[in-house]
Amino acid sequence: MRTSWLYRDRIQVLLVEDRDADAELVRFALQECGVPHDLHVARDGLEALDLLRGGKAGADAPRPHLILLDLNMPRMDGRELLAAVKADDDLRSIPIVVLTTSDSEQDVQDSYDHHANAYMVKPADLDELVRVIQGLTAYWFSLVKLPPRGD
Amino acid sequence: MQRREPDIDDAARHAATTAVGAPEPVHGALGAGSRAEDPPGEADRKFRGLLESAPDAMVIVDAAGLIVLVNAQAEQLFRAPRADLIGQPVEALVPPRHRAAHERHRRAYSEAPHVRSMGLGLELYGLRRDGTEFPVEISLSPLESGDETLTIAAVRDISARKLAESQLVAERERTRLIIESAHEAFVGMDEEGRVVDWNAAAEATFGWSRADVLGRPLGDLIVPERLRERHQLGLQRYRETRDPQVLGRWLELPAVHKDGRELTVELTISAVDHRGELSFHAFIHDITERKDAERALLRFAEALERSNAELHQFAYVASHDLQAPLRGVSSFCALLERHYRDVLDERGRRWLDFVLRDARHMQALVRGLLDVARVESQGRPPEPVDAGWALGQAVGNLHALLEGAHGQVTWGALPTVTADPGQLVAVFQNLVENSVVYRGKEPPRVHVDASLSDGAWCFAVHDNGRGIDPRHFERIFAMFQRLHRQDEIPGTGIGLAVCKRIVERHGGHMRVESALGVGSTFTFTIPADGPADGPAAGPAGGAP
Repeated sequence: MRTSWLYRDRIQVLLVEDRDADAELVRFALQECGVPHDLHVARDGLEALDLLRGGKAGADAPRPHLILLDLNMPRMDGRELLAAVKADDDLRSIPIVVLTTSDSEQDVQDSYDHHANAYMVKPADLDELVRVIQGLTAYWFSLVKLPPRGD
Repeated sequence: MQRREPDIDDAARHAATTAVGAPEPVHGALGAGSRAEDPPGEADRKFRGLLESAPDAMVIVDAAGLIVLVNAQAEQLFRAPRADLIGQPVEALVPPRHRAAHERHRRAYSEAPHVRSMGLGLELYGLRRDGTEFPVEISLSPLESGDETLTIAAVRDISARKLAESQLVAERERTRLIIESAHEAFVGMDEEGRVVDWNAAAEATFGWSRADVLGRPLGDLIVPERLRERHQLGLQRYRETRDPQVLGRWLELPAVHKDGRELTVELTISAVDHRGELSFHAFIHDITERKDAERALLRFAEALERSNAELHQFAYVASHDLQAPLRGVSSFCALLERHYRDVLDERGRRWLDFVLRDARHMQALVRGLLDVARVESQGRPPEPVDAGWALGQAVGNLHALLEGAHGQVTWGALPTVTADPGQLVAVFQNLVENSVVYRGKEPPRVHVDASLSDGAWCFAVHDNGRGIDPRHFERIFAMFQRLHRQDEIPGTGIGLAVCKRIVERHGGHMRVESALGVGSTFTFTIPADGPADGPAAGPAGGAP
């Protein structure tokens, strides 16, 4: 797939995921897609908010082009983070794709109700995961226009 | 036998005033009381007239006990003409066994003659000429006539009354026996609330004997203390208002046994107003045991439901939370296999393969467990579903599998049933899939039909597969039970367990019939009680 580069810098992806094994798999899948990117991982909602607001954990972290969000996490889970980011004037324009194992209708409904940009079910099979991530990157990094950035 | 006739005047006067039980003795001296104007002979006629017209049978007896005069009623009563009676001893009119006593009493009476009912409290009988007896009531009064005392006896046949009395007694006795023999306690109380009836069953139920309770307030005996005031008030209220609030319907109330134990009883109360007297009656039976059993059953059912809910939750949570680490194992094994196989030797690759396969198998098992748990947790309320449509969906989902095996599915007319649509599809899909997976030597042929029997639709899925040994018919429906090795035919052994769970959730049941080498028929029922259920609705169909 031809990628069109609209941005001078590499795609910044923020993955919010508490399980390091799952984070590793997403990292692998993203690499398989061949799009130049930097992946940042926050272990839960609080860490993610810190990163996004340029707090002490993420003072140097760039603003992500896309956030991949797991729902079930300790301390502050995906649903709370979603609500917080979409309520924040500064952060709300960042596209958030919920990427989670849950396929429950309730979770899907709630996510869109809280203005998630998309909801994807994380497959259990590795090859399936790679295919899903490929679709995701093709859509968000190649097909659609992302919000313009000052940098 | 010729006797001097008694003084007619006195007798006439006397006959006129004597009735059964009349209190006034008449002592007539000769001539006293007679009307001076009556010519002689006239009084005689009057007397005779009066005697003959008296309603009762009259027998006049002299001091020696001989009959001197009788009236027509007496002739009729004793069925003998007066000629046969007059001059006879009065004992001739008395049954032989009573004669001695009668004579004794007669002699005693003549010592102190006065008006009285004869033989009060005794059973008196008269004897007819033909030897038959009849019960009588007799009043006596003395009659002075000159220097002798006569006795006038008014005799009344009381056969009818006696019969009625004995019938009444028999009726009462029968009623008493019925109440005594009743299995239910029968309790009656007067309007003050005191016990007036108490049968044997009441004694057994409440522990009080009849002698203990008669006349005592019922409230003090069988009503628990905390309810006594209410009992009294209720009684009072009924007396005043006659409002039948608790009467005439089934009541369940606490009661108390003599030994202090509290019981639960079931009863109906009725009120009877008999000639201005109010009384209450109840048929009561002890349902303490039944209530205890009900309570125990309820507790058990609640515990069972709790346990069931916990189990469902457990299965759901367990399978959900197991999936994440399994995903990790499975994915990284796959990655290792792909990217590091050159580093591993033959044996290492084989071992890694085992890990991968087991991980994948575990994932399938956990998913299966989730599926079983979800039958309840994600079950939808039943709605009208065209079974033909559901089967079509299932066949469509299995398209690739069917094509690969050159399988064919056909069906007869299938009805609309009341069911969870997704779950009905799942049942058909599982069964058809099994038919294909466990096929025999021939390409799989599956046929589905439905029939109505006993208020339920019975669906049958017939295949020409390899068949099942009858001794496994029960096992295959259990979770994770399989009849083949993973390397022969892979599978989780969950499919039929899920089907069975779904069918049972709909109130039906599932079974199998099969012959090895021939094929199997899986049947399941769905109760046909929904309003949407109709006879075979959809068209017959088939699909490769």
